[in-house]
Amino acid sequence: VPERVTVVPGTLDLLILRAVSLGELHGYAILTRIEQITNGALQIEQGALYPALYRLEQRKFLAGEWRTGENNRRVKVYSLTRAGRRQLADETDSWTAFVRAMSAALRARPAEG
Amino acid sequence: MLGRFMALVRAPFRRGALDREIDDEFALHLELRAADLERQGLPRAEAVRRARMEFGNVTRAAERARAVRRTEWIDRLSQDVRYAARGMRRHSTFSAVAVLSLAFGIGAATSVFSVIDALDFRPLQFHHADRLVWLAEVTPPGYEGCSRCDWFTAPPTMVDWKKQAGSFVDVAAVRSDEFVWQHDAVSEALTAQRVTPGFFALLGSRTIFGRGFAASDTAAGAEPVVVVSYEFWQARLHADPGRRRAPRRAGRTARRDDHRRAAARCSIRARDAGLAPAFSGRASTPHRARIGRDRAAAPDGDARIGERGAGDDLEAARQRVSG
Repeated sequence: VPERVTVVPGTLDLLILRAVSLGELHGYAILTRIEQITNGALQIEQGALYPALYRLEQRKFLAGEWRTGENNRRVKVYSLTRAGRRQLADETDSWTAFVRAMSAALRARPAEG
Repeated sequence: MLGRFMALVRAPFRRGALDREIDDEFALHLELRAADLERQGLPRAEAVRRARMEFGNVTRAAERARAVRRTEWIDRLSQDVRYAARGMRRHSTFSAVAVLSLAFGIGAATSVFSVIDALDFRPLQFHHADRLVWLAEVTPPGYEGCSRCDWFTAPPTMVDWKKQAGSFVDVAAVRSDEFVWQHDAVSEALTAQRVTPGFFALLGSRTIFGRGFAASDTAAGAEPVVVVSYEFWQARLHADPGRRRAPRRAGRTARRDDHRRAAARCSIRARDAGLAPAFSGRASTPHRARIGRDRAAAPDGDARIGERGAGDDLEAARQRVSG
């Protein structure tokens, strides 16, 4: 089992958007999808998933829809909206830039002189 | 947009439904997680326990979720308000027209309601208000311009009603008129009513100074008299009971009795009258229903008020008048 790290604050939204961008999912499936695409390296506080989902839904990045699934269970399925897709692209860009800058900073060596 | 509005309206009332949705979602999550753990080889009870543990504090999570959902409508409202404000700024002429239309519409409705409220909904403050009826002749159906409208009644008709229709305790007539009030070197137009002598008694309106009109006041050559309302007395005559200069008939300046009218005696009608606007002339003079002499005269602009006898119902009174 690889060592699990907790999610950097503020990145859970991005992870959710990414997970849902691969296909519409219900809450628990979003969690397993995130574990899957991160190879289980990230530990997500499961209870925090739902407030994040509602927040994204409220900001119209996700669209939630109640459906009747197998065994007649009501399941809320989330899908990415167009605004969500745009948000995902923007956030991905800035995250990539952030990571690049952080990595560069942490790799920097004193100049040889 | 309409859907959005409905959601906004429903939002504060949807708390119960919201809680249920959150509970459903959490329950499903825990169940699916437990099933997964079971598939990984954990016994059922242990799987359920682990699922709960991993989820964290369910109550706290639900509370946080609810907090997000509860403020949803506030967010939406502020979004909508911002959107509306932007739109109004962009189409400022259109907005101005819309706002003005609303303002005028509401204003008009309010004033119409005030009038209708005063005339129709509030009980008249006359004694026996429930027994007072408004008598009027009406134009025939389909009469040009105004079908079945209140119309003038000739004075003899009114006298006939009074004499022949036994349904009424008394019948009085009122007619709008204009007077010129000359005082302190100015002439002022006043709106007033001419009324028959029984008018004030019929409405139960007292005079606090002087007297009401008597039958003798309508005789030819009688001294002209005027009754003014309490408000007029207070505001215009400075509550002076000795004030003798009173309003004068309009258009009669050349007549011989002019000087006498100018000195018409004032009576002051008590405030209690509480007359509805239709009757609240500021000054009244006696009015003669000229019988005999002017029998062939053109229809007069009179409205009649009668008081029904206590035992008579309205329908019977109506039939007797029209019969």
